Amino acid sequence: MSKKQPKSPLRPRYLKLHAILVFAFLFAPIVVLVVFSFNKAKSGTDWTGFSTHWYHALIHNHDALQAFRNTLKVAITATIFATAIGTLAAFALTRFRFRGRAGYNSLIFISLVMPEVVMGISLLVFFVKFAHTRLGLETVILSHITFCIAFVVVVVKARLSSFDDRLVEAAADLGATPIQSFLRIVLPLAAPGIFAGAMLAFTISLDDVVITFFTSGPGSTTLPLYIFGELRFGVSPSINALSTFVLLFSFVLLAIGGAFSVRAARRGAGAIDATALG
Amino acid sequence: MSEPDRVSLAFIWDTESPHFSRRTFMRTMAFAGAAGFMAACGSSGSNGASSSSSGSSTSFRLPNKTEAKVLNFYNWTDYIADDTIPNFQTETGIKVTYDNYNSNDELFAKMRTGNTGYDLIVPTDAFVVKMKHANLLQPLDLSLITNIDNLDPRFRHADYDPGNLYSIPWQWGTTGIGFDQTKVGGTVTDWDAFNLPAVNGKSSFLDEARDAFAMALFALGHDPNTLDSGQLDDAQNYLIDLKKKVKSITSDYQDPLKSGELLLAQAYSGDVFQIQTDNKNVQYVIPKSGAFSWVDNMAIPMGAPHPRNAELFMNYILEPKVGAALTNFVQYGSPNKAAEPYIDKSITGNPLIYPPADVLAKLPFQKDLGEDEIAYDDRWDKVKSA
Amino acid sequence: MSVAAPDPPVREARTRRRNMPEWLKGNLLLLPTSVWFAFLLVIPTAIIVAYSLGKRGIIEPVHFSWGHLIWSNYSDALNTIYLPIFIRSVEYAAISTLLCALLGFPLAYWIARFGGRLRNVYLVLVIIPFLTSYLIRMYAWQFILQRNGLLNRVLGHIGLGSNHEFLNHSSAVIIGLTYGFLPFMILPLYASIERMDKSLVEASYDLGHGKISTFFRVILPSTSPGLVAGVLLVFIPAIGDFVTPELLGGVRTQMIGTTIADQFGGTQNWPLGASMSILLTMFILVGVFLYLWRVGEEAL
Repeated sequence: MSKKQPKSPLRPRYLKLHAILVFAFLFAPIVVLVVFSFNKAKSGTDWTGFSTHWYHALIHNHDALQAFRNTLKVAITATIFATAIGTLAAFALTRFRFRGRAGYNSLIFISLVMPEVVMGISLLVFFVKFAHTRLGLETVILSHITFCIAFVVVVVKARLSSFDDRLVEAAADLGATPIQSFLRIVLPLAAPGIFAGAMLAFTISLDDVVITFFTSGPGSTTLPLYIFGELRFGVSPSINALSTFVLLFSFVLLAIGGAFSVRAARRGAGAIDATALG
Repeated sequence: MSEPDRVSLAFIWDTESPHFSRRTFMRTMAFAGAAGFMAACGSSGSNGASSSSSGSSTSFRLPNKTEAKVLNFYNWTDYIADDTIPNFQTETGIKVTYDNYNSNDELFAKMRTGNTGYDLIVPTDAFVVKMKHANLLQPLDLSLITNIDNLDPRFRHADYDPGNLYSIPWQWGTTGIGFDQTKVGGTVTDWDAFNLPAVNGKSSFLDEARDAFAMALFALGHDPNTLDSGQLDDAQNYLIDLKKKVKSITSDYQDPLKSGELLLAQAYSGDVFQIQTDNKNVQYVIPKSGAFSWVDNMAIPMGAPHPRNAELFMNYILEPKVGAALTNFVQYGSPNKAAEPYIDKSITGNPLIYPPADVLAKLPFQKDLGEDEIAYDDRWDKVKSA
Repeated sequence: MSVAAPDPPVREARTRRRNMPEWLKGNLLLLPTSVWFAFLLVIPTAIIVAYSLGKRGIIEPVHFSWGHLIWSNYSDALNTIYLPIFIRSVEYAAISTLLCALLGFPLAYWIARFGGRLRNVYLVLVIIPFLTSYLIRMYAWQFILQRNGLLNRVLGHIGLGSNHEFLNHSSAVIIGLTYGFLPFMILPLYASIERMDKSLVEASYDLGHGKISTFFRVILPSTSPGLVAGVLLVFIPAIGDFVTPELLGGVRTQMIGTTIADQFGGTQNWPLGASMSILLTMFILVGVFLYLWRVGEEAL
C-alpha cells in the first residue's frame, strides 16, 4: 500500500480545515439539541436551567418509544427494498440502450418533484379507493419505498456513469458468465454508490412526515408524526433526550466499526482493489 | 464472534479491506434484510391483544359483545392525562391504540378519502360541522352515553351540534392574545394591540382561515360568521395590512413567545397558560371586541370498526373525576359541569378559563357555513399569497 | 446467496451473451421497478391528473367526470398572484443548491481522497446528525438564529453587530434548506469522486498544469455525474419544500410548496392544488431535461 501523499490542487491542509468547518456546521444544531435535553423548561429554545427529568419522562413515554420502534422498522425495511429495486434500475439505465429510457428517467424525476402533500394524498386515495387495503405500517413502508427509489437510482447512476463495457467483455473472454462478471466486476464498482444511496434512503425515510401522515393507520404512528403532533402543545425536550440516545448509540456503533476496520487493515495487504479499476 | 463475521462488519467501514468479498457483502445484506422483514411482520400483528374484562361498575355498561375489544383512538398529541387511557383499559378490558395528528385540516383531508380504520377522533367544532356535511361522522347512540347530563348546558345546545347528535365535547377554550406584558410597552385589551409600536415586526397571527378572519371581523365590529361580501373584503384587506406588521403567520408560537422572539401572538388559551408555567411574564387576554370559543370534540368517523367502544369511552370521559383529571393536566376548560368540584381552584377561579356570563356572551362558537365557506377560503388564499 | 457456478466452456459463454438482446436485458432488470412504479407512482399520478381536471366539492373533495373536464383549474393556477411565490421558490432552491455544492464538494473530495481507511466512517458521520428528529434540529436552528440567539452573540463578539434578524426571514429559510439537503449533495458527489482516477490528477501536474487548471480540466469533468446528481437531488425537492419555510420562515418567505399544501388544507381547493402540482412537475421536467442536454448525456 503506497504511502505517498496524493497530490491535489487544493492543499490538504485547507481542505481539511474546510472539512472541519462543514462538520461543525452539520453538528452545531446537534450540540444545541443535546444541551437542551437537559433544559428545565418545556422548551427547545429557551434555557431556564439544568435538569434531567426529561430523561425520566422519556422512559415512561410509551407512545414515543413505540413510535420510535415503528420508525426504525419502516426505515430499515424501506431502505433495503428501495436500494435493491433502485440499484437494479440504475444498472439497467446505465448499461443498456433501449427505447423508453427517457420515459423512465421522467418517471424518476416525477417522483422527486411531486410535492409531498400531493404524493401523500394520491397514495392514500390509491390505497383506500383502488387497492382497498387497510392502512397501517405496511402502507407506510410501501409509500416510503416508492419515494426512496428515485434517490437511490440517481446516486447509483452517477457512480456507474460511463461504465467501461470493455471490462465485462474482457471478463467474458476470460470465461466468466454474465452473472459472474456482474458479481465480480459491476457490483464492487457500484458498491460505494449503493452504500451512499442506501444511507440517503434511510435518512429520508427516518424523517418523513407528510407522506407518512396520509398513509398511516391505527397503531402505525412514527416518531416524526408523534413529534409533529406535539407542535400544538409544544415539543417536549424528552424528544431531545431520545435523539441524544440515538446519537450515542450511532457513535458507539461507528466507533466499533472504525476499530474493526483498522484491525482488518493491519491483517492483510495487497489484495486487488476493484475500485481502482474505475 | 467468529472470524468471518468480524470481517463482514469490517467491510461496512472499509472497502479496501483485503477480506472484502461479495460473499460477505451478500451475507450481511441478507441478514439485515431478514431482520428487517421479521421486524416488520412482527409489528403489524401486535394490535388487538385484549386483556380480560372486569366486572361492571355502576357508571359503566359492559362492552358490547359483538365488537372486538379494541379502540383506535386518533387524537392530538399530549392532549390527555397520563392515567386516562390506562384506567379505561383496566376498567373495560378494551385495548386502546393511540395515534396522533397535528392539524384539523390534515385530519379532514385524510378522512375525506375514505375509511382509515379509526374509531374515535377529536376534531374542533368547526370541523365537526364540516365533517357532518361531508357525511364523515356517524350519529351517536346516546343511550350508551348516560353521563351526558354532566355536561354544562352551554354545550348541550351549541350551534355546531345541537343535542350532541354527533359529538361529545373534550375540552374547550378561547382564541385570544398571548403577550409578554413586560415588553409590549402598553396595555393589551383588544385586537388593536398589534399596532403597539414595540410589537411591530415581533407579532404573529394564526395560520387558520377562520381564526384570522374572525380577528379581523371582530376588530372591524362585524359578526365573525358573516357572509356579507363587503365585510369580508374589508376583513381581507385588514389582514393584508396586518401582514405587513407581523413577523409570521403561524400556529407554532409557543417557544417564540417564551423566548422573546415574539412579543404578541394570536393564541389559544390553554397554550398560553402552559407557557406561563415557564415564563411568568406571558399573559393571556380575551379581547374586548370579542373572540371565538372553540371546543374540541370526540366524534366517530363513518365506517368505524368499533363505534360502541368509542361511545363507552366518551361516557367514561364524562365521568366527573375523569374529566377533572383531564382538565387539571391540560389546563383547558372542561365542558363537564359535574367535574367542577374536582378541578383545581386555580383553574375554576381563573376568569380567563371560566369567564363570567357577560364575557361569555361575546365568545361565540364558529359557525360552519357549508358551501359558502368558499367565500372565506378564497380570500384566505389571497391573504397568504399577497 | 452463494456464488459457486462452475466455469462454463468459453464458447458457450460468448454465444449465450450475444443471443440475449440489449433491450430485453435492460427491461428484465427494470422489471421490479416497472411493476412497482406502475402501481405506486403511475396510478397515483393519474389520480392527481384526474383531480386537476375536476371540480371542488363539499361532500367529495373532488367531483370528476369524463364528460365535463374543468380546464380552468390550470388557468387559475397560472394566476399572476402566485408568480412571485414561484419565483421566490426557484430562487431559494437555487441559492441553497449552490451553497450545498460549495460546502459539499470540498468535503466530499477530502473524504474520498484523504479519508483513508476511515472513509466510510466520515461518510456515516455526515449522516449521523440526520438520524435525529428534523423538527428538533429546526428548533435548534431557531435557537441559533433568533434575535438573542447564538449567531447574533458570536457576531457581536467579533464586532459585526448583534441585532440582525435572521429568523423568519429569507436567510433562515436558505440556511435551513442548505442544512437539510447537504447530505443529498455530499453522498452522490462522494460516490463519483471516489471513482475518479487519481493518476489523472498526478499526470496533470506532471504535465505542468497548475491547481486551478487541474481542477477545471481534470477533476470537475470526471466528477460531473456526481455533481449533476447532487444538483438534481437538492434543487428538485427544495422547490416544493414547505416544512422548512413553515418552521424558519415568516410572512415574506412563502414558497410554492406551502401554497400547494394549503390548497389541500385551509383553502380546501384540491383541484387547484392538483393542477399547481402538475404544472410545477412539468416545468421542472422541462428544466431538468434542458439542463441535462446541456451538461451532457452521460450524466443521465
